[in-house]
Amino acid sequence: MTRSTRSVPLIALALLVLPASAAFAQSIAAGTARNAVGVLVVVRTDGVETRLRGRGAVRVFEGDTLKMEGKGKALIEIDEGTRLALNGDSVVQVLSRWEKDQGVTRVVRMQRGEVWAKIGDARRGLEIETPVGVLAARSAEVNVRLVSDNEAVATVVTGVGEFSTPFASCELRAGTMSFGQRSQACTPPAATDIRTVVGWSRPLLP
Amino acid sequence: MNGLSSRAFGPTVLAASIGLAGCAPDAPRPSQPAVAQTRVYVANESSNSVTVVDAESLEVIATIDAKNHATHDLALSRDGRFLLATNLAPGRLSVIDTAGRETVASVYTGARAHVVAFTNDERQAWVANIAEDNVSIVDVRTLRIVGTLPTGKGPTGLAFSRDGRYAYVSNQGDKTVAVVDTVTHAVVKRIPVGTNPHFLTLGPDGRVWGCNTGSNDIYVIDPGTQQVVASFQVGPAPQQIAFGFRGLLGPLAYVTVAGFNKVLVLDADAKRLRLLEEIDVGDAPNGIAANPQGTRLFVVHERSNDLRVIDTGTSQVIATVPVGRKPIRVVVSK
Repeated sequence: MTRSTRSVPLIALALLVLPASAAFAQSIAAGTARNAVGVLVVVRTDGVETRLRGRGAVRVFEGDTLKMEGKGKALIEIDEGTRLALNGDSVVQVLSRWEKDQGVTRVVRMQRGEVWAKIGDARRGLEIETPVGVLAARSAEVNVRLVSDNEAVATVVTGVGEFSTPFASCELRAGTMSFGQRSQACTPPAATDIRTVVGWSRPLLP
Repeated sequence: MNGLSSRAFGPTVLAASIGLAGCAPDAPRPSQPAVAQTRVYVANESSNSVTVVDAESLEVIATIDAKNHATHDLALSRDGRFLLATNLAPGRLSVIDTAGRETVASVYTGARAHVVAFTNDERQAWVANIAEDNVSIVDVRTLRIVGTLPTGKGPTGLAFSRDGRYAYVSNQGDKTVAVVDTVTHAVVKRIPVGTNPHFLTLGPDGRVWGCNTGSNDIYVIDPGTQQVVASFQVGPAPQQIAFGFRGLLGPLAYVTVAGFNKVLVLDADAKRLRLLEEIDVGDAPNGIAANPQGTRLFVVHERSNDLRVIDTGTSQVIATVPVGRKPIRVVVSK
């Protein structure tokens, strides 16, 4: 066996093991950007940029920053069976948390804009972070809009989510929303018109 | 998604602790007063690890892989069960189970995660991210980032007031200490300090003590007035401060001065800061911590890669313990 053929199984093994381990190299695949209405810029951790216009397949890695150039919309398929859409001038970072007992939890950190997500895998959750709170959900469809650095709106379309600020946690059931504002607890869940909240994401879906 | 809920701070463990402390009728009476095992933890930045040392025997018990890179600062829960470690390179916080001596979680907080501190109620851990000019708020139960606070340019030090009402964040880029109201999360004041303010800690007087690593002095902030009430030139590149006693004398402030390879001993009364003594230590002393009794000091040296133990009664180094590469921070169980 040559050196190169010997290394193939090792590389394959590494690819299988890495996503579930605590080692966070800079090039762990996290998903694929599939569709952009406008231009989606994927900024790697080393600053290198890749752009998606229209339909395509741009790989997204752990630590990447996704931002809309100007205003538009984009759809990203996260590897754990989650669809993530960006709206307007959104900027988000794709992150994760590792726990020995829980494995890897995908985390999307919002810097600006609005995101929608449909989490398909009940075993793995998604957390959407904002400067004023975090929405965590499994097997749910959710929407988070960052109004400013001091205010966010979390909405659960289907399923259940937990919206936590530094001061309180609010359980959100389907069809309800909650505000998170700096220095305040999340507001009690209130019914909302789901169609108007998530209507923007529908044209992106296949 | 349950973080440390059932491991460190959850009701199960609390209930178990209460049960153990209860008085069963036939429980044997202990022949000795209860003495907690004191552990010393050292963050080794270039080894990406934490060395665990028994504070009595001074033996290395374990070396824990942080499962991250450039392990820098440490915060230990009051019950000693969980240790948090920042990691500069990946911007992550390692959560270490001290009983199992292993890293059980890794949480991204922000670019160049530098220092970490538990809030006084230990429900949250605050992490200062130098390259993002903010502090991440980690919910300790779920390990989720529940908020982010902009604090100033290049936050490098973090401490809470005795009553927990204020957080103090030193900002290298601003040469200030930001005072954050922990109820409103607003920066209520920016206190000018010196060049390259770095380490901050709560003193035994309830004041906040800090080092200006660039202007070679230490300063003391009074939370009552939110002003610097004292400062003192200590020498090149002061790093960190701990407090202890020398017999009847004290509390005393012990300052690691990296450029002198010394620990300076000051009267810890902010009204009469004065130099009492200089203790020669190893090459580039950085982290320093005292045992709960204030009779032993543990000093790590980032160039000689060791932990030296000072007996405060005699001001002598009584032991040298090799640790990992570039040890930066040391904490001792409370």
